[in-house]
Order: sequence, then structure tokens, then C-alpha cells
Amino acid sequence: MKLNIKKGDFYLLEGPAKAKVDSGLVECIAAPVAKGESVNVPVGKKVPLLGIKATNVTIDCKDSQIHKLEKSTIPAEWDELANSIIKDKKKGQLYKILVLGEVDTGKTFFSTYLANRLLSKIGKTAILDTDCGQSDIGCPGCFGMLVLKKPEVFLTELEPTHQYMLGAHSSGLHFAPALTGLVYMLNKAEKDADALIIDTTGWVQFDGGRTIKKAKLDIVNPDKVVLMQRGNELEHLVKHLPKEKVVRLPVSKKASATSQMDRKSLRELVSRRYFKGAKEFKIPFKQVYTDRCFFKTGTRIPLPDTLWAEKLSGFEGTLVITEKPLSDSFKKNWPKELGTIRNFIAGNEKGLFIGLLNENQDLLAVGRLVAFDFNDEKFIIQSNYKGDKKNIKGIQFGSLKMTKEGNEAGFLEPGSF
Amino acid sequence: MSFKETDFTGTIGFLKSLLANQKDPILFRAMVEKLVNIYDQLPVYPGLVNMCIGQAQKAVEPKDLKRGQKVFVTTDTGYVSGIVAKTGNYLHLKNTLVVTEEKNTELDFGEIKQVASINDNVVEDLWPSLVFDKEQK
Repeated sequence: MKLNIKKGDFYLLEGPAKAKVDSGLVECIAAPVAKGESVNVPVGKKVPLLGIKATNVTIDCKDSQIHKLEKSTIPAEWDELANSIIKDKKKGQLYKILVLGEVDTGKTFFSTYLANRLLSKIGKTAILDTDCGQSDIGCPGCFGMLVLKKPEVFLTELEPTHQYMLGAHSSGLHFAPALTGLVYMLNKAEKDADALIIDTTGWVQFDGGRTIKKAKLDIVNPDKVVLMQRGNELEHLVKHLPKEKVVRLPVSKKASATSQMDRKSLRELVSRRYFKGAKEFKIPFKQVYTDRCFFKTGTRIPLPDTLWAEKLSGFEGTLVITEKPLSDSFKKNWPKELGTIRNFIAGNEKGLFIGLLNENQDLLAVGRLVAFDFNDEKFIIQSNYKGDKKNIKGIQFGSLKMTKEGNEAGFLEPGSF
Repeated sequence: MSFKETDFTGTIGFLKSLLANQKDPILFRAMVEKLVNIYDQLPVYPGLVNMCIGQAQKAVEPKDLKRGQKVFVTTDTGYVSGIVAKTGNYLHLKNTLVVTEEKNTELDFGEIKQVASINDNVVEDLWPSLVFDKEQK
């Protein structure tokens, strides 16, 4: 269908839909869409179209998916904030904006909007997505950072500039890697960007939420903290901050709740993209260092009836990988000098989410551990990594398990091997 | 995978082992109470909580029992707990709790105060997104 959008007209377009601009200019999440350009709206998403000039658009969707609204649903405060950041920004210094909000408060939408606004005025603008359970940048289970080259509408479809594997969908019980990942990404942003918008998880309350958010605030030391709140649910996090650093924005009434099953479906939709067409290959044990595990960090010892055994550091005991649970006689005859037995049953590693690292511990690609091959002493891996396998110098183990298609398949307890 | 960020997962390990090895329901409960008690004493040292609870239970010879001691006894027909009142040829306990194993039991509805059961599908009901098809792996 054809739609004539007048200057200042505001429409909301529900996915799945495609809007192609035939003439004129519209703005979508602060990204200009000019003649010949189009916006693809995925299922479950809604985007605003604002007429900047009189515009003719060809829209491919049902009439019921297009809504003309009386005025923009983007609060005026968003543009006021963008303007104040542009004014405050000092040359040569990374301007850091930390966005806080509970789940479903439109943090990603806002972050995208702000990034698009800042891009033409400030220069290189990056968005860091630290919400591993609802990743918009990068693979679920990872932090993703995107240094924008041009204004963008949907970040999910873009290749992240940097990724850091958390290995879980929540920073709960992964606090150390979550904070290490934040520092890692900040260092990258210092080199790559002039402004950084940090999109955070909705975990803002109780012990865990307070701990991680306060730590993030302390580590980032942001120039601006944006609170996207419905009431005063975030105020406890910013009591210590000077007034001028904190910006309170109302949550858009268009921000809608996503059920846990929808969240899972969206996660898997993104995750499957990272595993689509992934090939199986082997990496010798001796080629790589291992990270976030005991395996291959100790001294290998010969031990009958085991697939692998290694004495770990100090009082950590001995990692013993076997085909079956240890027999009573094995435990009875266990040499005392080998300390505690850490038994891992081979096969339980199947499907484990992994990161393939280079020598600097940068994430080359995510993957899936198919199995330990103790006969050939190799990792059997499934990944979309396209580079030279010799560049894989490390393997980082996550806590999630995936199917070969990239769907979620459970967990492995931290510290299992 | 990462490493465990807390030793409290060791407490779950202790409970698993208790579940596997401790058949006496009275002693089971007492050990859980002891665990909570030690945790209350050492809330910031989960590793020490695990170490202490692991060594809390000890076997005692009947001849070595002392008056006032709280004991848990396994018999041919079940389990008894109580405070040692007197020792000699017999063990005299006071404030006793006795659990016996029976093949079948009949109860009059009139004597039932409360009935409880456990929802085996509680994760499925509350967090369906975290229930995985094991065959998929």
C-alpha cells in the first residue's frame, strides 16, 4: 500500500512489515530514511515513522499494522538530553552514558535513539549491550558492542564490533566475568569511540541487582546516568551521585511487557543465527589454553580406569574424567596425596556454549562443544568461525548448553570440570 | 561454565549427600537445623559452614552416652530420638520422637490435621523457559 506522510506526521508500524521510501524523508528511531531506503520491521517489533519532509512510502503489511498517532510518542526529554550531551562533550574524552531500567522499559529503544541522535554531532558513537538474556547486539550469553557507522534502526541484525562471552544469560553467579567484561569493553570503547551508551539488564533490585549495578556505576563512572523508570524503582541506585549526573526519563507507554517464553523465543531466534550453518571441526588440546575451568590447568597424571586425570594446584585436588561414575573400589583405593577427587563424567560437556579466543583473549567466535575426544586429545567444536583455525589459541567455557541448531538446552554447573 | 563464585553450592552438595545417605528422617531434620544454625553463626564464610556441617555428625557407642545428651537411634523397626535420661542395661530416653516404617497405614479422616504434597512440576509451572528437552542435546 502507498502512504503519504506529511511533515510532522507520526505513524507507528507493527512488524512484520517493510516500508520503502519512494520520495521525501522520514525518521525512524532518529535514523533518517531517505528516498530508495527501506525499513524492515521484524515480527513482534514496532517502530515509529516521523515525517521530516512530505514523504511517499510503499508499505508491505496489513492496514491494521499501521497506526497514525496524534503526536510523537518519543518524549521531548530524549532530544533535550541528546542536546545537553552534545553541549557537554569534551573533545578527546569518551563520554559515557549508563542506561538503567527494569525489564521492558524500552532501554534498547532509547539507547538506539540516543546513539542515532549523537552520531552526526559527536562522532563515533558506540552502544554496549550488557543484557545477555535479551541481547540486541551479539549472541545471547555475550556482551556485544557496536560502534555505529551510520544511524541504525535494529541493532540485532548487525555484526557486533566487539563481543565478550559471559557464558550465561544472567550475571547472577557470573559476577566476576560480568564485571571483567565491562572493563574489557570500556577499554575497547576508549580506543574506538567518542561516546558510549551502556544498555544494562533489568536486574536492579535486591542484593544481586543492587550489587552489580553499584559495581557497574563505580567501574564506568559515567558522565550521565539515565533512569528509565515508571515510578521511583531506581532511585536507590543513584543516591550517591551528584544531581547533575542523573537524568530521569519516563517510560514510554508504548513499551510493552514481554513474557518469559517470548524472551526465550527472541533469544533463540538470535542465537540460531550464530549457529546457522556452523561446521564441526577439531582443535587439538595442546593448541589452546583453557579458561574458566580446571581442565588442562594442572599436571596430567596416568591413572587407570580414567579418560583423563590431572593433579590441580595446591589443595584443589585432582580432576578425574571418566566414562561412568567412580566405583566404590576406585574411591577406596584413591591415593591420599592426590587430595579431593573432582569427578566429571564424559559426555556431560556435550552442547556447552564456548568462546574461541585469540592469543589476546579476544573472542573470535562463539561455538558449541560437541565433545572432548580423549582418543585424539582434541576438542570437537561446532562454530561459524571462518578464520584460520591456527588463530584459535584459547577456549572459554560457558555455563549454557545449546542444541546444534542454537536452541537452549540447559546448563552445566560452574566448576564442573 | 566459569568457576563457582560462592562456596554455598557446597551446601547443596552436603544436602545431596544427606539425602542419599541419611535414612533417619529425624536425624535428617536435625542436621538441616544444625546447618542453618552454623550458617547463622558464620554467614560470610560458606566454606567453613560446609566444613563444620560435614563433621557435625558423629557415631557414639551406647556405653559412652551421657545424661542430657540428645541422640538419634536407629532400631530394627525405625528411628528414635530423645534426650538420654538414664543409662545402664537399657537406654532411657525422654522427650522422644519415634518414626516407624510400615508397609501400609490406614487413617481416619477425623484424625488428619493437614495433608501436603509436593508439586513435581514447580519449575515447569513457574519458569517454563528454563525447562529443556534433554533429547534435543
